[in-house]
Amino acid sequence: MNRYKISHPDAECLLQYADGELPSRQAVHVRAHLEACWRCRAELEDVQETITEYVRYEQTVFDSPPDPPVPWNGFGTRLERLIAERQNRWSHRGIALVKAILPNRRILATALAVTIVVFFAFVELRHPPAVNAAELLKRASEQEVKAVHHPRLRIKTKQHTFVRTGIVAANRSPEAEAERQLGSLFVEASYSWDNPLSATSFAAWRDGLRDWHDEVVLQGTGDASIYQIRSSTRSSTLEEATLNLRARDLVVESGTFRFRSREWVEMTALADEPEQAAAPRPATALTRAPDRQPLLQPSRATEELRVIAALHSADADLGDQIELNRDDAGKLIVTATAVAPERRAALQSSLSSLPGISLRFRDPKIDLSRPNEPQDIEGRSSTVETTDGLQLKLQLTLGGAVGLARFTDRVLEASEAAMVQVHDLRKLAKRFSPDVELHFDRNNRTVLERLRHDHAQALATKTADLRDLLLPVLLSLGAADSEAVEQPPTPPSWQDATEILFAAAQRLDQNLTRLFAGAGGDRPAEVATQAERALKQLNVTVGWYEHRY
Amino acid sequence: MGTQWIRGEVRAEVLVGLRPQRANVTIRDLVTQAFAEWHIDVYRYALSMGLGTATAQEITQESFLRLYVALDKGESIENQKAWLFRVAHNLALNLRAKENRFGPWTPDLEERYVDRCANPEQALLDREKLRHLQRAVEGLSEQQRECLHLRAAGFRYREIAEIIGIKTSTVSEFLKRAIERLRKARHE
Repeated sequence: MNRYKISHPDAECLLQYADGELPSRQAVHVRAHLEACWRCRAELEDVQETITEYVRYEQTVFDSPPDPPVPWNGFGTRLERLIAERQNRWSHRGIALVKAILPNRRILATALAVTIVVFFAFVELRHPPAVNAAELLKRASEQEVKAVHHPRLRIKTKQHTFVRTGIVAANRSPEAEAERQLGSLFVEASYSWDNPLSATSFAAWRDGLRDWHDEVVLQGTGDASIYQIRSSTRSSTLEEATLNLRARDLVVESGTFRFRSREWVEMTALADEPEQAAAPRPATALTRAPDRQPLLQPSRATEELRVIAALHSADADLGDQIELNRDDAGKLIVTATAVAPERRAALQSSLSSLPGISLRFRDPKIDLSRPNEPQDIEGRSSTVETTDGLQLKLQLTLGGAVGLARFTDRVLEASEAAMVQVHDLRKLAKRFSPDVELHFDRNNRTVLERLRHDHAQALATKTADLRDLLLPVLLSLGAADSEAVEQPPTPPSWQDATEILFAAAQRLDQNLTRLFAGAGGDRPAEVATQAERALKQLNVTVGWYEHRY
Repeated sequence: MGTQWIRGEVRAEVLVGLRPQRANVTIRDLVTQAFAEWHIDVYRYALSMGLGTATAQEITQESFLRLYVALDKGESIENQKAWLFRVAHNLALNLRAKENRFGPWTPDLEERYVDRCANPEQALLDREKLRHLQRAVEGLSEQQRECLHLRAAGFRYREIAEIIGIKTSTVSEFLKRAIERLRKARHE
């Protein structure tokens, strides 16, 4: 057999081969092919060299990492303290007592084993097999791994009831605000807010607890029976969490969460609507690189591009409140959530010239009986007590706490406006990958280019605003005027360039948070310098992007 | 097998006869040994996730303390190193979410470590190459960077998937993309 005839392994296959991750049968084929094919061998060598270079880079950066502030031997003391704490617990005293009574530990072990066997035999006869929480969660998590699923959630708190659809970015509705607040509660308790109604998230939270108590109850009979897992703890701000899983397939149906702050939350998974199949991930997941998206068919891509362009002309870009999906039959559906009645007509007319598009409006139920209290800037005392050096300095520069609060709001608003544009660009890049674009005719390319240009231009204006606003303050904080920032290396496609842009925007965003969230501590000048550099970098990157692509 | 560890300071003498070689190992010894062996790796990993030295150290110590608690509770942990990295990963994410900062590498690291070459010309070349690569690495997504770091630390795809909480196939995809990007950068 001519070994060369076997098709060339793709890049992923080659890397897996180099990493010893291919199943042995496949590896044998690849090896045989490599022996015969110079081209693939050269490819593989190049991959290996890249790996070598990366490893060298890691070694340079991390082989002797900077020393931590405190010597490591402090760990021993902490471990001893932990052991002492745990030994004082009654369970240990109980064991010690039994040990004292039964000097022969072998007998103790046998006795224990016999007791356990008898107990379980008894339980087995009377009840269905008892399941412990850890085991159940493990099985349910395994199910979840097989089918990653982010259902829509109905979330009920003391004050609000709403449906979580994943549309949060830059949304200032009370619903979004409530969701954000709720999110921070979960995050504070080390409980995943990305996908709260899942056994995996529940298990991760439970695994991180220092102390906990589990209860597992099987309710109902037959197909309708439900496992209820309840874990409570004293060591987390989330004091008690309950998950209800369908016994037949261990899918999580609902859950309740009780926080130390007396807040409680009830969540129910809603059945999927067809157009939800491609629902965007929640905003909290924006920082993650999304999984590979299936390639769009050219005709579909054209259709979607037209809709996006039409929506853009009506000032309704995807993401904020507007979703674009397909139903099972492949028909395009635009879903507009919480759009004011007066804007609906504009949306409708923008899409009227496009055939076969259905436009749906959705209004999540929001309990407005207790609106959020408005932030009373004027009411804040003029000097807010803070020991943070950076915050003090900011207050001094900007005229007290009121001035600082106003300034912070303006900066965050400007940065949010810039981020919205970056996200829009990124969405375009993701939807219309280079492969998809390849199939576009000239007309489509022009439409796409115009869309991109509009966003890039808007972004340039917003970042310039941000710079004008921020730079004087950063310099007065003692930011060193950093050296000129280089343009990033130019990647082959604008889609890749968008990722670079996104990274620069993210870095600035992160620096701003550090600046205003009081994490700057006693090194205001350093924090300001870093923010200044990130600001400069973003401005340069935006200019480069606008000019190059 | 996780049941061979007997709680806390109670020595595992019950099991004498069954596993004599483990008879005198306590969970404390085990965790102390694990700490001696892996704490720098976990610390590096936390640093690579963009945390400062103090936070990275805290996360490292906390991970090992949690390992103690887990073993003490009788949990069976097959792959302790991967377990530690997973806990460190989650702690790091939570801490960063709390501070609402998702940073890539600490930028000063580069300046800190480059100038250690004997030959000045080579050093210059190396430095340039390194900078180039660093730029490329910084252009990767955070999860791609994490996959690279963990792979370089010797974890298998399956373990990486477990640590960051993604699918094994996604790990493979991330690594492929990352290596492709680095390759492109090298040839630019």
